[in-house]
Amino acid sequence: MLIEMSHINKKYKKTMVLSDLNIQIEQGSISGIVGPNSVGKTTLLNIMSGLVMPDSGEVFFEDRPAADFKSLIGYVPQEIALYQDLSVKDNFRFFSGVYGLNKEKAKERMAYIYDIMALKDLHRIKIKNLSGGMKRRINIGVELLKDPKVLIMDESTVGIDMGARTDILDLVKKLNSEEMTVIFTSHHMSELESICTDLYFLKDGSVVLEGKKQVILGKDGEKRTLEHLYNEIYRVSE
Amino acid sequence: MIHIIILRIRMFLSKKIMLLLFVVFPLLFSFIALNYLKADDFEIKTTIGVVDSDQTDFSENVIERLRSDSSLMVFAFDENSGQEALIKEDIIGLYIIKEGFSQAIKTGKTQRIIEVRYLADNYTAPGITDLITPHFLMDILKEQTMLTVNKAVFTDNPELGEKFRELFLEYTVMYEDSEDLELQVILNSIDSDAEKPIFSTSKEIIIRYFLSVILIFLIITGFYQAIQVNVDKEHGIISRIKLSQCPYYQYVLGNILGIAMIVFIISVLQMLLLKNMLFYHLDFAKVILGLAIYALSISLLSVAIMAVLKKGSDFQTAIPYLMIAIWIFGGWIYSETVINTGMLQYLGRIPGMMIKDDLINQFTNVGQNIRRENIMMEIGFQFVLFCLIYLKGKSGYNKNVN
Repeated sequence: MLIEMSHINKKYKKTMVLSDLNIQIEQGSISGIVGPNSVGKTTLLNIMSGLVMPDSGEVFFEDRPAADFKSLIGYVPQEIALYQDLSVKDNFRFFSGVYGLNKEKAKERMAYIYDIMALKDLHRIKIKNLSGGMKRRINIGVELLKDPKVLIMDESTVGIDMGARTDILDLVKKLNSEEMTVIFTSHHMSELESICTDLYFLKDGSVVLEGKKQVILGKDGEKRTLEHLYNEIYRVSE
Repeated sequence: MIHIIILRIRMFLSKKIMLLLFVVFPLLFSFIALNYLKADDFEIKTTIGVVDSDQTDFSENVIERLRSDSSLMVFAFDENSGQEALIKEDIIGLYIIKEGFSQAIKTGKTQRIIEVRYLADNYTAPGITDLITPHFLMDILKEQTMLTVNKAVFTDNPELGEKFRELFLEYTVMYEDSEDLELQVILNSIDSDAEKPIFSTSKEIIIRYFLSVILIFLIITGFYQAIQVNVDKEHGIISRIKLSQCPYYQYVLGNILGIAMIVFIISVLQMLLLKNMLFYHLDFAKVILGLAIYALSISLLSVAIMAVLKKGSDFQTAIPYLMIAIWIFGGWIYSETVINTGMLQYLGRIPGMMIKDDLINQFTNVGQNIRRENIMMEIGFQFVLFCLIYLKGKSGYNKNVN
């Protein structure tokens, strides 16, 4: 297993967000974390990335404590965490410096990112002048500077049009084909269904259903859509 | 750390409005103000009180001459009311013409004929002596000339002596009215090791105010940049930095030094303009040292205040109003020359304020040094502030975020 989280508990003030959560992420998978708002998806991703410490429980990366592997994990936050007044190139230059990349490595990674994201013509443009979809792509691109083994994407397709979403999903598939493990959250069930290989349903602070997409959606001999399954799990309880 | 410093400078340069507001506008302000200050006819009125204890035509003549001076605003008092006006700071100095003034001058005794009173803590007040002396020096010189001529030439003929006196006074009065006698003060700098003022008292007040406004501009620049650091936190950029290999102390130090660099570079640009336009005597090495310490103090103070405030972006909209308010009121308070209340003494313990006077004195005096004790105090406060920022931020940095 690439990432293993066991018996994770996390509380914010009096609210229990994650309760005895166990999850295992397979190497080379595209894992979708499914659940409505406030179910603890972002908290789970924050703990996975090392940004937040759990109250109890353990996180392992390739069977070793995950805290030692921060540089191998790319975390794309929900917000556009970029300097809006700087150009695309200046943002990449800054973050490659912060991520401790030397000049050559930074140049090499930037060339790769420009190529994979088709950004070459945009590198002089300020972030604030780009479209929402393009901002989202660069938000992801910054994390690719690290050349991470795992890319954690927290609702990276929120607030953008269909075309831009398709571009991001294609990018995820492309990265996955280069053996990058991707952990993905989204409120669009169709997106998760189209790209994920594994699915994890969060409810009441723990995983209530997990497994390979084909197995989960084809359970009990009948093929269901993810949206149908989502409604079954969450609407019934409401 | 160097990436954070470069980032801060790049962020500053990337916004045209910042360049306009914090670089172009202050430089333009300085350029216009310096042209105004350079003009020979520039003068503000110094308010003085006069007590005429002599009550002669001679003393009245001196007072009239003082009143005709465009740089003075002269009020007549008796000694007690003059003293009260002085204490209330309605006047900057009280000029007392002693009884027997005219008689003393006529007989060639010029000691203790006038008295100038001023408040002990008003260090600019002694300068008014420079303003008023020429007005009675004329009488002293005239009388001395007549005494000498009468003694040397007309000792045996007092009638002829009296005739000479009448003619002499008539012609000197005419000469006084002529434009040729206009007193001109050249304000160019002079090489000297002595700690002596370069400008007239009234001009120095305006210069100190002007320099204070420039320093306040630098403070606002520092604060605005510190707000940008808080904006990082709100936009999730801090999460990325937390997950990077950049240690927390480097992030803090990078921001502090980045802001200090911006403030310092702008201040150096200002100094180049000031030196080339009016303050030719400036010792650049001393000024640069003072400005570097000042910039670092301002940066630390700004970051410390912003570390306490949760949402930096809320204050962005307030900045233009704050600037206008500070422009109008702050300069006068900061210069301390015009308003001097007890409350303001506490401001002297704020980082940046300890070295501020030494910096301003570089412009108004020749041969002044930046005092070592002030440098040490600034550095001490800088260290304390850095510790506070570090500890405050470190706890937040380790805190869990949702």
